[in-house]
Amino acid sequence: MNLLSHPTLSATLPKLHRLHGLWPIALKTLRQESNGWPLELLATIASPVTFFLAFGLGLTGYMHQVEGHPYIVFLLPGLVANTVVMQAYNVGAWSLWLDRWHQGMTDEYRIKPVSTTAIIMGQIVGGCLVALVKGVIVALVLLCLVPTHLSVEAMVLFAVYLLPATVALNALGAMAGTAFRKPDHIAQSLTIVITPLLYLGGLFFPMSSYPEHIRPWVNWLPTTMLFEGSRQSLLEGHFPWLSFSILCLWALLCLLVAVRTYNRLLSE
Amino acid sequence: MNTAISPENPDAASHSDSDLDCTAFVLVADQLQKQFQPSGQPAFMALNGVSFSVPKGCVFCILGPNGAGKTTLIRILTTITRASGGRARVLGLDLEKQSVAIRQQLGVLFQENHYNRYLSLWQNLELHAQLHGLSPKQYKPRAEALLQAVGLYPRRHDPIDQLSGGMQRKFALVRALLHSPSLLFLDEPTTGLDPQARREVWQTIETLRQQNTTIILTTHYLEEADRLSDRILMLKNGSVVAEGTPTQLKQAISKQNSYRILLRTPLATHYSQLFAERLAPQSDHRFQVMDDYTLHLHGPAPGTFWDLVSQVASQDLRHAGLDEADLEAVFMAMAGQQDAASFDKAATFNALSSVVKNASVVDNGSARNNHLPEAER
Repeated sequence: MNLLSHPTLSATLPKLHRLHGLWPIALKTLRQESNGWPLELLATIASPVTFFLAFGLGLTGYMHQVEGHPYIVFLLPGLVANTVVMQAYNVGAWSLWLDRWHQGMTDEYRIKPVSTTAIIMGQIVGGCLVALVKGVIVALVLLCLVPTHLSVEAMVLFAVYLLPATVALNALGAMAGTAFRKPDHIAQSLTIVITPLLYLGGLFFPMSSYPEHIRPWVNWLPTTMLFEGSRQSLLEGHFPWLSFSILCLWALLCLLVAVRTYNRLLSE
Repeated sequence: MNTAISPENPDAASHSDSDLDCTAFVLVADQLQKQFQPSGQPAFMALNGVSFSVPKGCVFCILGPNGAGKTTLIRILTTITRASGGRARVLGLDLEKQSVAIRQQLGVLFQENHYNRYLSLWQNLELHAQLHGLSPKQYKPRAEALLQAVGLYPRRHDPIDQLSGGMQRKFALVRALLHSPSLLFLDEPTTGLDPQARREVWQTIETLRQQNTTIILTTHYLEEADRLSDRILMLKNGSVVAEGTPTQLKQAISKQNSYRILLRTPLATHYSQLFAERLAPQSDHRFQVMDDYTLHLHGPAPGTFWDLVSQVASQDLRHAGLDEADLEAVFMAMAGQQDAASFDKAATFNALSSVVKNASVVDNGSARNNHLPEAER
């Protein structure tokens, strides 16, 4: 039987064709970030380096070893992961907001022979690439400051582990940027939803620090899985498949909702 | 069987259940409707059964006062907004079902400047070309030529924000033309341009027309519409109130046997009294003093009019002749109609006869003001 004549494939291939335009839009996001690279670079590394100096160096005298690692090393995966997902959310939200509400570029895309699914997927792919590139930069800067040796294999596992959370946060940001007409609402969504998720997820401390009765709740936060898994993959070379699978499901869910939201809002 | 649509039979499409005939027309719209339902407010019809057709290779202008539905119509025809009712074929393709294929051949210049302000001119053009599926080999020479034509080539690597408003408008036109569209929508293309730049855009539009590109134009400059358009569609309150060539529209609004006398001396009242004495027995002859130097007459046959003109001393007379309506008079007359809905079923040419009837029952006043309802005069 001809593989291409399989009903599932033949139903999917035309839909893949509808993703024409995804890459130009993704590359656009990379280009617009790189056009202002000196300031972008500074803004990207300022926050994690500040956290590193404030917590890593400031608290070293009180917290010598955490889960078998010096506290300054314990912080490293969380700070990099935090940078990636925060950038994913911010780039997703602001890129979509600028295009839809400020620059009118969404209308410009929609008079091109591309589908709305390709537009939103391009924005998300571009946002994820930007976030990952910024994560690599922050990792390189922090590695210069942290006296530790990490294997290449562990770094690759770490990068792979970050992917689903990056997609999920970028998709959430894209939804916010599409739906919120006022920029204040994006800033508020960051303060009300994203920041608590990140800080409750054990960015600066291990889950074992939480009281027993709270631990089961915070363990199910996607950000807890992100930070715990990041440390396991980068510092111990162990890939937490279960957490990774759950994060992949989160990413898929967020992606589907973002695409659906975008298509629905633009069809009005 | 398809129903043929022609300028002589513009309503043919409205009543056909078969596919719209697009062989002679680049665009055929049939009873397009758009209803908006703002949250917490009653629904309103932005377009109320708009039908028209655009012949290939012409410049087709859409005119109407603010809120007439021009932008909504453009957004529907460029596939951005979905119509609530009716149908259309653009470039022979179904607007609803083949929107992606239509967009491949559309060029659009929006009313507002839509750019990625974080990219340079060249990067914006590259993005546009890539989304149209053009390879660098295809778009680079054309992009360079177009940028050179409008004098923006030396600034191609600058961010768009560094360009003046006029330059940004020129760049928008370059981008709309980059993929050689078959149908070009220009939504107020010369707004914000200085007179010289405006003339350059007009020249570009003329050149495109000669190259058989069909252009759908909206503008607030009636001089522009008059100069460039082959056909004009007038909208009001979401309905078509008139359609035709500029000449047809002006003729429709011009009153028969209307004349104007311009004087060198401020003796309009004197001459009006003189004419009144001569025309007193003929009650259907009317005249009006517009100011000290201008006199309008309505009703006399040409022979009678020139007899009256012969009474004016040659040193007092600057000009005498037919009082022809210009496009502004047409626009004001259409915009002033109180009940646009009454034109609903009489779209296009039928609407013109209604306008003529309305015009003929109003006495006195200038050609422009005569067609306004009492309350708006």
